Amino acid sequence: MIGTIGSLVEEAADRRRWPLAAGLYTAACTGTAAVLGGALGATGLLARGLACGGIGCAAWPSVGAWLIGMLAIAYAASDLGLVPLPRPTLAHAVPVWWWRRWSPYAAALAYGGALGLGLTTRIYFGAFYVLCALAILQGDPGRGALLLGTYGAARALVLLPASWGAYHHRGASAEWLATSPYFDLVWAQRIVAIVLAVFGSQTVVTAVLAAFAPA
Amino acid sequence: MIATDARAGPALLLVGGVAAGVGLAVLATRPGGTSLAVLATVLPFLLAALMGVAKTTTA
Repeated sequence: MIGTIGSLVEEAADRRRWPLAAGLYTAACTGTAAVLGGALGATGLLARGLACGGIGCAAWPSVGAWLIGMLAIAYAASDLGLVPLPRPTLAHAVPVWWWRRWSPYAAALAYGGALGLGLTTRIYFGAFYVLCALAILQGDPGRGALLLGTYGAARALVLLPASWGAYHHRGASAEWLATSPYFDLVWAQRIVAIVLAVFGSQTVVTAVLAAFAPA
Repeated sequence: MIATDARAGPALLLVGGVAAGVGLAVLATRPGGTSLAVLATVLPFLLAALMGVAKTTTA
């Protein structure tokens, strides 16, 4: 992770330049995540159009809710270490040398853009894959962009205090990140997994209750 | 000594989360259940935040 915030750590030395680098980083991360969400929504729209030509779409929302709910519960179990599930990522897609060779602003922009795509770094939270599936199943590019854009913004904003803290603990930044109570990965994974489990089971049960409700 | 499985804790968390989701879905169908459902959603986050604060101050 320190590689992706290296440029921001360097810029923390200057209180006037750090907001610009952090802003570029956040904007790029939010932008590419929104583009990804829009593309997934467009893919879903296209797939729904093709499927509706053959089998009809009356049952689509109910089937979609089932799928999303079960996927959320499955990834919650995976985040808790109970079952292994695939987590597709593109290896070596974010080189550490970007912030050494490029200007801090260009590197902040590049790292933000790469991180916003999600698949370019290791994904510790299964919620990302559930959001991608939700964007596809909703089949709405605008809502997909909003959904993943919000995720991208949150992902970028989490790193800003890390870059500031890493600068102020320059001698032992890696140790500070590993021991800081604010960046406890296991606890964060558990909390997100519980939220995913709640969301998944609520989605499935709501779909079941709707299916058996008297007309 | 009682031998405990290391996966028992995470499994309990998952079961608790699923049970909370089922409860929320059922509550939301009842009259006035929405406010209870919101409360039931917010409470675990408050608890998690309090635990986080306690962990930080005792570290």
